Amino acid sequence: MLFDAHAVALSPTEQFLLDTFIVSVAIASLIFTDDKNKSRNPGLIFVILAVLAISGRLLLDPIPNVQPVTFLIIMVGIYFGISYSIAFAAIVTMSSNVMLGHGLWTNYQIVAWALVGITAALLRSQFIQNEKLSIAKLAVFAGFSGFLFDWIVSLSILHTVDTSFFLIYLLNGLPFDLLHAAGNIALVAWFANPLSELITRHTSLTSQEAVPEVASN
Amino acid sequence: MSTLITTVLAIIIITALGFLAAKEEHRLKSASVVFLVILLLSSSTLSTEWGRMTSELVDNDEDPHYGLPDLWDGKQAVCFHFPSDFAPSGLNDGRHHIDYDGTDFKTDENWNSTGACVGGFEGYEVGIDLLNAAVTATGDLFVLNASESSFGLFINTIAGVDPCDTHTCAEDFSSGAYWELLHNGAYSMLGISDLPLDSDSVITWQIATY
Repeated sequence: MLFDAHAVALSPTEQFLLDTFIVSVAIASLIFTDDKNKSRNPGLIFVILAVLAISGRLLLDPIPNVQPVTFLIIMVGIYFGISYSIAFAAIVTMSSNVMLGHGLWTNYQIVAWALVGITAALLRSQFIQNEKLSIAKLAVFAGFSGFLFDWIVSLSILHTVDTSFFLIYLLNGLPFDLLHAAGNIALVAWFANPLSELITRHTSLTSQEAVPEVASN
Repeated sequence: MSTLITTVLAIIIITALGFLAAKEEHRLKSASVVFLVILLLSSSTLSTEWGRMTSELVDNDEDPHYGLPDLWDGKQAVCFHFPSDFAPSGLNDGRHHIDYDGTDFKTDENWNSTGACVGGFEGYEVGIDLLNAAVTATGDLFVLNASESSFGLFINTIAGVDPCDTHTCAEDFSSGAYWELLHNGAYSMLGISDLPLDSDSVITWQIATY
């Protein structure tokens, strides 16, 4: 029995309009980026992270609810800011859902991942202290984000069932949510520091190239 | 419930061992991988046991699957409904729900009959195979006494309950009672030996009179 947005069929026109809106938001988010990134060229590392997220999500698809997108969007939120994380959520979700299945649920996934990225961006000062990433805090947030993402996506069942069933549905899915959280924590533990180093190195290199005299001195 | 607690405790203990066994700077890495792997390995048990526990909270009268727990949506089940005074010992307080491995995980006290449904089965194509699977899963609880007739298998007693013990049966067979077979809520025109099943078939045995 299908409960969620998979049970809601959109007409081709409705689907097209929704997709156009999502792509527009993604493009607008890239154009109107945060001020702090305007002097840099984070495009390359952003693309690399997006490719990692898409390919990782596809590769890990056989493992229930373990995928790298949530972890990567947290990193994007922290290092690139709010607008990039919105773009990242839209691009990664749309691209990977071409293979995994595209429909109304795509919108819930984009909103959920964008919210995770936005929250990470807003809590940036909590995660980076003395220019060092706090892995413990990040792991807690990544674990929580697994639940947050799943619960937001679960809102899609309200298209087909009434609200009285919603809490039971969430409760039933807790073991599945726990897998998401565990996957996120493992990814933070193993890859947050190397990725942080990579992003920092890339962004500082591009900044130096923009003002070579300052760099050489 | 006890399986759920055991599984959760095992996950916690093994994760703690993974944490303590590693050097201080690698503890989160070690514990997180151990936690993820052990969670993946036990996810099937964990989901099943959790589903059994939370199904107690679901009371959906408009359930399209004959009022069975949502844990059994899309799966096959066999229900044995007894008159309240004739239900086997321990099954006279409502309708019990027994999973394919014999775990009695939910009792619906508001259901209008007593007995049990045995469910969570998949892939059975003929009624008799599903019935045998349900009887086997519950040990000796629903022992069948059946006889072959020209119409196929005829059920005389279930769990030792003879319909003529519950209703008056005339010696000349002008009136009596029998174990009636329902398939998906409707009277089955085919006997249990020949009954083709759907992927979510629900077979019900109940006493009817004529």
